[in-house]
Amino acid sequence: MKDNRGFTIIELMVSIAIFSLMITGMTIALMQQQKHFKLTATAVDMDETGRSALDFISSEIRIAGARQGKTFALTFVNGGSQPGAPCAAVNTTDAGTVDSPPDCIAIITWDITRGMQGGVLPSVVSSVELIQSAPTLVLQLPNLWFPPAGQLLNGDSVTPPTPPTLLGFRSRANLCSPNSGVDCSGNIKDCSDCGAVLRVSTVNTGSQTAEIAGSVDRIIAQNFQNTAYASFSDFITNDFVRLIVGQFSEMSIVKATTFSVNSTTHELQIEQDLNGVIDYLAGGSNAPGIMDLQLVFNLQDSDGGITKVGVPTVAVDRRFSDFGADPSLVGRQKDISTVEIYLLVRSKIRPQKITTSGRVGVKTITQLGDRLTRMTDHASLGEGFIYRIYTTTVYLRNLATEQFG
Amino acid sequence: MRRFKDQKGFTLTEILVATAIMALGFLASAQMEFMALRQKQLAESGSQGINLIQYISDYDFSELRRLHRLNSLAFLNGQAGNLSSTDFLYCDGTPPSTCPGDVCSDPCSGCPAAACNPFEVITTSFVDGGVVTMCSAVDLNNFDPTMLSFGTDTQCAADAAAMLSAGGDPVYVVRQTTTEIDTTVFPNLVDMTVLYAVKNRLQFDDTGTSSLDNRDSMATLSVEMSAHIDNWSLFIPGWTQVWIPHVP
Repeated sequence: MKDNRGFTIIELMVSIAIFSLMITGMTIALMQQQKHFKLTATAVDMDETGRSALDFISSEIRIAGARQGKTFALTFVNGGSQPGAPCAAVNTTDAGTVDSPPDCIAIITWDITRGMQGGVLPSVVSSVELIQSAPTLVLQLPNLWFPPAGQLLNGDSVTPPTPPTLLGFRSRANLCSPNSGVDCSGNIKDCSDCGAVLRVSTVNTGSQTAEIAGSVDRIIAQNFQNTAYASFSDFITNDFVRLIVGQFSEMSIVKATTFSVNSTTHELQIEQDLNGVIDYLAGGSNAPGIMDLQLVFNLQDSDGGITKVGVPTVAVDRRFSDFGADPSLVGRQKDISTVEIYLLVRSKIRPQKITTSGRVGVKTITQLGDRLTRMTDHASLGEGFIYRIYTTTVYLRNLATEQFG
Repeated sequence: MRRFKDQKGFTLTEILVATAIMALGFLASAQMEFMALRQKQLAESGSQGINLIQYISDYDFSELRRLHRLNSLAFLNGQAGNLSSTDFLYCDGTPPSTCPGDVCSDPCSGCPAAACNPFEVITTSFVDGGVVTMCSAVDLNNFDPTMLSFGTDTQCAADAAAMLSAGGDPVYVVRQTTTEIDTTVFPNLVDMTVLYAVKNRLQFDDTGTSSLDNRDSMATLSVEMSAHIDNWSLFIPGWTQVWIPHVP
């Protein structure tokens, strides 16, 4: 024990230094691993959000387009997504520009599948029976739409259905048709396969009638004319009675699904039957943000070409084509052949730190529907996030000539 | 105290062995780290690649269906004796008046001699055993499935170089079609395999379009399609070989 000595301070320092280096290395490796794990989780999260949202929208459109005949209508508004009021206003002033809100789409289908899941009787197609046209439109509804409570359907007890909120009308008469050699362009009111969707004011279950009154916002969709009606009575007396009631027509309960994006919360929203109740579908503050929804409708031209609706026609001033704004597109909703959907998804976290030296450059996102460019330094997006575009093209199976636009 | 008298430090050999074991441990841990990073990159590029393939195949098949529908409308008009009202511009090789994108700039070339073949959207070979491999450069920062330009390897590489110099992030999409026609049955049956592969620059420089294996690509996807060949010349003169894709 006499010669026993402890470690010298030098030895200790060297060994501690080596040990520290090892620990530092291991810590760095662990931190890197943690960072990559976070990045991978972020990417997976974005993929899940983007793809599921895209699949949901595209399957709704595909199902609508797969129906027989004139049983659906697709309407979309360039820049029409407004917080709290999806697709309520036509935004024409800045549509297609960087400041333009995302697009929105309303998919309206004849609800012929009601009752298939049990609970509600089928909304059988009915002939249009007019009781009164003015001052309030009053229509007789079929008795089958009002089953008594407890009635058995296939052995199951059924719940009385909620009164219809949307009614769809279509005329089976071809007043004129481009295919029959009669030119419709001179008088769009004499459309082929006339159709309309109206929002019901009240349903009288006793007399089984529907009343529709008020302003033109009762007209959800129509293909009688391309411009807005001055008043609801103008619509009823001049066109609805002549083209629907006066023809061999039918009426059905209509189901509407509206998709829009809330630019403030970055959520994809859904509204059913235009009832004003907006539900959250994807995105938001606790998930990857849905930053943009862009839609492009491809119209089939007779020579095999395509006319695009919802893209800038003149790149310089960002003018865009729209069913309502472009006279050459009057009455062409029936030619919708495919629909392109673009979703821009932003990561939940901001993994790329912004430094004063600008380590992360401004990202330019282009070719997104009607937008020529979107910059990540713009207020609506934000630098430092990861962005991904999710897109698909949906083919509508219905023959173009049989669609109600 | 006596028992500490003979104490000695570690020998050099002991220290060397211990250090070697520790070094091995650290090497293994570094290797694990590297592997995890590599796997993560592979998984991420795989999901990016498969997303890209999905968009492109969605677009390809919607175009194929669209052209088939035009043929069907011509058939319906022909059946109704109303052929004069059919516009055959879409299938006579003339570029349509309005047609964005590369694919549909000249959708079909065989009209009216043998009808428009919707499969011209994805291939150029319509004989048994025909294999066609085409490639298109895609800028991940500026991607639009409707603006792809499928061509030769050389064209593809040139497009990618242009994207790169413009600050883009190019990858390569390769589409290979294999056509098989069974002429022993009536009507003749067509079986077409469409193989999509997405490659990054390194993978493309390494194997080009010669290998579409998964290990040489970010992602691959194979789609089987069938069709039959019908004779519509009874209603549309000259349309003896109409390819009818079996798509919903």
